Amino acid sequence: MMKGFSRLPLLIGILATFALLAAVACGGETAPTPTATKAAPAPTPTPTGPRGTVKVALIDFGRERLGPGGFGMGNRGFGGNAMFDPLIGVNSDGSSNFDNGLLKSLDTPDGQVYTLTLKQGIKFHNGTELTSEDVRWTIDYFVNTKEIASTAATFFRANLDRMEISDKYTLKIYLKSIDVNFPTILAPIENDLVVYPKDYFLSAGVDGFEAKPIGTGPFKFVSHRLGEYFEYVANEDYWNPKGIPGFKTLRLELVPDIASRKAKLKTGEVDLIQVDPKDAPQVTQEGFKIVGPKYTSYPMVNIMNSWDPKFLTNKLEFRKAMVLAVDMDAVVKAFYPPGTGDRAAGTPGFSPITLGYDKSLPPYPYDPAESKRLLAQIGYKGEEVSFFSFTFPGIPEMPEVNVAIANYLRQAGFNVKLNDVEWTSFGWTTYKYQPPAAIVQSGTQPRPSLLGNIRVYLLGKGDGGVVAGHADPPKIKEAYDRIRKIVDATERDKALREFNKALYEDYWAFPIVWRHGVWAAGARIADWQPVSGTSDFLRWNTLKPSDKVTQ
Amino acid sequence: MIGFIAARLLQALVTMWLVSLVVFVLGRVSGSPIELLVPLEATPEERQAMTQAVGLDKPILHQYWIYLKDIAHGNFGRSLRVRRPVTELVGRPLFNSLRLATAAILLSTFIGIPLGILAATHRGGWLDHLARTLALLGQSLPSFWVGMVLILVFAVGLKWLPSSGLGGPTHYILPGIALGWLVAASVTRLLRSSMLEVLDSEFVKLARAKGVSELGVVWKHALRNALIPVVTIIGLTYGVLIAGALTVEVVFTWPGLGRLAYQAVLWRDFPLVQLSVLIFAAIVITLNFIVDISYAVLDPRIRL
Repeated sequence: MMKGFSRLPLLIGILATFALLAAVACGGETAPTPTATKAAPAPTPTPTGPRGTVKVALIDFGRERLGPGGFGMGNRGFGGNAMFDPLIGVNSDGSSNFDNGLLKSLDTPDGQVYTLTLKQGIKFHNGTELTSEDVRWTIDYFVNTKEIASTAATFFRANLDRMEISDKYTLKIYLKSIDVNFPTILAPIENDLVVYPKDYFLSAGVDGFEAKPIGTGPFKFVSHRLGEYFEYVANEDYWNPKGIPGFKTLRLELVPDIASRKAKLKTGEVDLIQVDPKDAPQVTQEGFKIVGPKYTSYPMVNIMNSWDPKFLTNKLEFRKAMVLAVDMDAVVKAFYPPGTGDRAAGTPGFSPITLGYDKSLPPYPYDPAESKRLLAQIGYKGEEVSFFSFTFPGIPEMPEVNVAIANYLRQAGFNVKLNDVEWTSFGWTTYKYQPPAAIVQSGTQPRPSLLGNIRVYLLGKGDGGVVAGHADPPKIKEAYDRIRKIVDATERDKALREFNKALYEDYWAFPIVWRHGVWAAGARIADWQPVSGTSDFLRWNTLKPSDKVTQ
Repeated sequence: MIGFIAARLLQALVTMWLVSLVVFVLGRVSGSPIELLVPLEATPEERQAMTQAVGLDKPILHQYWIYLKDIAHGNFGRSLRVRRPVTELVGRPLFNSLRLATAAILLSTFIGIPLGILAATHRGGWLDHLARTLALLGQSLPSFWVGMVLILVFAVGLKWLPSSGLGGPTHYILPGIALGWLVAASVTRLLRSSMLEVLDSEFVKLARAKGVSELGVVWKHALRNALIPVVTIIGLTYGVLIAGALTVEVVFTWPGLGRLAYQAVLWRDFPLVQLSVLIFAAIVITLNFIVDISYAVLDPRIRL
């Protein structure tokens, strides 16, 4: 030690550090000090009308645009359902409700020509009235703008013949062929069509609209900072008085990291966050409520190229052996605490919220002995089964679930090679799978009408399908072409139920779980009514403030 | 001097060109963003239309040639995700990253320099051991882990500080510490060894012999000489901090350029990734250059 040297530098450093911390501590919120004992003042009546600010931490903002094509199925949470209304509304259980939508009625004599009649007096946020010309122009814009990629655009490009305006509030849409599924295109669970103001958009332009977007919805746009937040204010002149928001201000913040989201909830910096299923018990123990929409996605393991005789998966026995080899009850129990998901039963693709659901069809059993017997029967020699696993948006737990499934398969004698891939670079619907066998996990949207999922997941690629997940494409095409022409909903449900039974023994996929959206809410939120059957039509206007929110 | 500057400029241009080429090619061979830009049920024609719309239908080298021509006209492309010019998107995040890096440098200087002095002047004592232990921890603990622990303790547990995000002065402290601890560690260790060397030099012995107080020896004579390499390291690290703060920005939800670049990588938003990396490269190259020049200015023995 240096003789005579004072500890001045140490003192300066320590004092400065403490000064900084003291400034921080004094500048922050202080704990309430106890008051002298006296009679409590009379409670202030809770004000009516929107009040307070609600802050929600979202995992991502998708394409982060509010203009046409800026959001689509799966990524509307940041604003698509705050500022805009669907043409046909929904209840929180996913059933249609014209009261909540822009349409007064939707009529069709034949399933090919549809008459859309708007409610009168609905105004955009700039005060102009919504008319049938806005609807016609929006659909036309979606169809003809190549840069727009959305479920609605895909549908109309393939199916729209022409449109005719009958009057200020009535539009006739002529489809190329009968499509009984058309009403689902106008509702938010299976589609992403919203109506844009034609005159305002044309005068503002694409960038101008993005800077100051308007819709008809329960919230009006206030501000947006890229990669940080969207802020909205309640539309107190909303055309649907029952839909006027409970909170005055809605702030959606981008917080992709789960640890950061949980920290923000615990510190009170946000009021509502999305959590992983495994976090639900801990979050509940910490005093937060688990809320969220039901049946938001249907994770399953798709058996690829089963229509191709070069693949082992073309054999029913092989597919059945794979499905029976997995104790899916144990898998679901391990990864989905109560309230976060239910073991999927029956034919893959059908669920309690879809047409054609048959609750008499049980979950596929766990029968490793039968699985081994089937493998021996077909002379399986240990050929490699490629299992592609990735983190799919909205179901981050899947890689771990896939490891569990792969282990069950190996125990039954399958030679499984688990490939961890990155979803975007993998392109699971366009990848060239190689024999002898390939399986891929996916997270299906439930789609209550089911016809959309039949087309995407089951129909052969040559028939307009995307995944081509069934071993018998002609069987699927026949059923699809027949069922989609049944105009009567009850008859269609019956036909889909029969189709369900016909598919049950085909083992076309491994159904895993009917997953729910898992959100944790703080004490400032009294209630929330998101919509079941979709992960991102979140109805922020139904968030209700608790008594802790006074202004 | 002029020759030195010219040579460094040429070197900088070549480096930037190489960086742009590597990022351009690596991005495109790693995968396509089309699956993120179209819905699952998009037809092959729609996928092809989107591929053409974002310019990814051409061979990679052809795309690169178009990119270079556009850059020559100041056009760095449009974000594939948000469809706006990328030059409009990076300004604020870059400024936020600069703010965070500055806070980290200030904190690390504030902590590292006194610790380094104490360690050198109390060699072998408990202060020296404490300083070196803190330095070792700073260099070995990953910054994202430090950040998460700081959040748990000071935000969630004690509720003294906000957990994340950009805001007032209090928002800078935790991410500044998480990011700056590594720098403080380097400063502490470097200053300690530099001070020890200087304190043992002849001119310091002469100063003591002339009766200069120990305080004067340390502050007036030793420190000024010992600081030269420290200034260099701080300058070099500043650029690295701006470019390397990604994990801290993600943990603290700090809306900086690192986080923007990370989101751009997840989305395969090639134009935004390219511009972000070019900016990082330019910052590091520029700061290195400034440090070299200032080094020569500070120390007349160095000739450029």
